[in-house]
Amino acid sequence: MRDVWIAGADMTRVGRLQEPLQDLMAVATHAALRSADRDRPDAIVVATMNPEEFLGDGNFASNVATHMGFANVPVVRVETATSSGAAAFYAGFAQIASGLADTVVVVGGEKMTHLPTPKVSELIGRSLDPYERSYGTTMPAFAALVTRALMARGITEREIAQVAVKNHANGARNPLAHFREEITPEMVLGSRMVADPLRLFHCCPISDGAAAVVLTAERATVRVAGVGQGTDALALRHRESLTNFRATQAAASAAFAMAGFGPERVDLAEIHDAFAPFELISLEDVGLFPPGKAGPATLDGETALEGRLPINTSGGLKARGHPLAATGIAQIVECVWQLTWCVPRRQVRGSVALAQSIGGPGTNNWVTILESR
Amino acid sequence: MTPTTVMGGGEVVSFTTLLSPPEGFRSPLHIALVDLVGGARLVCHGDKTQGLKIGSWVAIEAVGNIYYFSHLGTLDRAKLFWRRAGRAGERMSAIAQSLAKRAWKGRIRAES
Repeated sequence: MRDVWIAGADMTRVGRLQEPLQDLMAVATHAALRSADRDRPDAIVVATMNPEEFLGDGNFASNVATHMGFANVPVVRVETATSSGAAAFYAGFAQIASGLADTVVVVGGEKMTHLPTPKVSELIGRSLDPYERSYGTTMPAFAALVTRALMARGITEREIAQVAVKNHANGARNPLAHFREEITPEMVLGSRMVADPLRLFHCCPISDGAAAVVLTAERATVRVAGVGQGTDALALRHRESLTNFRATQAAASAAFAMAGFGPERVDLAEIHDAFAPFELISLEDVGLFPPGKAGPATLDGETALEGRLPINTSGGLKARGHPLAATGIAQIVECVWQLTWCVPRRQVRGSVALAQSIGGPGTNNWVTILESR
Repeated sequence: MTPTTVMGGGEVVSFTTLLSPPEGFRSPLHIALVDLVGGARLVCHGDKTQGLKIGSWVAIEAVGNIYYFSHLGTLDRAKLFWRRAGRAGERMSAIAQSLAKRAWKGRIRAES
């Protein structure tokens, strides 16, 4: 297997955007190519979760490649629900590692703010088990069932609220973030109930945006040290545990095995906080904190920008925003920018960064480890 | 797959009240994940979650094709055991299992 390097990375602003998705993805792709000092890739991997229903567009790999001016470059689309971006990154990684290509663009994007919120919730909710969905179970309902079980295990409202507070504080320093206002724990705990015990400020927004990276066989500053995938049963009722995601644990163990080192070498991480408690679960699932310790550590500021292990310096899904298939790549863009000293006002020190992405109700999760050389 | 018949009651694994339910459902929508006596786990609807806790015992009934939970008091639980558990020996073993489970959980709680 050849070494895979990240030669360029860029993304659009995240939020309620007016531009068509094809424009957003073209902007991100060309900006990433410029930052890699390249004109044209050997291949493109596209990630979008559901352009068929959000936009009414099909054959989306060809659609977007043509729009970018790369109609003759081989292109595929990869989809694993909300982790599609991370899955596309893996597909691009495999093309370089195997020697099938020398330069691959991986681009992810989603556009959905033009639709009413109940419609968007219903479309995203289609990634749940059909039987459980027939009972009105949505992603927030799934997250609420997990959160209730988590709180019975001892995680407190304050600890969960602090995740949102911290990520908003980071988002306030990110000019591309969807939300750039700081919030207080009182605002989180006073916000309206969405799915008891989850409140509005525990949940990430519905966002538009696109992100892209350029992977190369040629040496660059950031190397992909490890990529791992983990999977689990679609139905919540078939899970062994509600308070951990087996899929994240499996992904982390595969990624660290490839990297040849453990979680102790990780200096910063982007974690899938679609719902604030998921950050706490995920920090323990990837092995960055022992079971039961992520909550207290968050309250103590260990995961803040100036803490021992900064988590979600971009603002995370909560504040940077969650344009579904763009998210997994946006996390990697943030890691690359941190490792190459590109983010004034939120720059932290580190040489190993980790990105973790959750697909659907934790059924197809990814962990990617990057290292600066 | 082999169809199996289970008792009409179980233990709450988790629950929520959805205040922004999807199209086709009325707010508030009460949902619980329940472990049935006999092993199956399922999602069901209920008419309230007030007073419910993880580990609470609920009765499960099918109305049409939809399963509903309702909260059981101690007396309801005793009746349910008595009515459903068939022969005296099975009744006793069901009650013993339940007590053993409770004692085991008490131990775990004491350790943590």
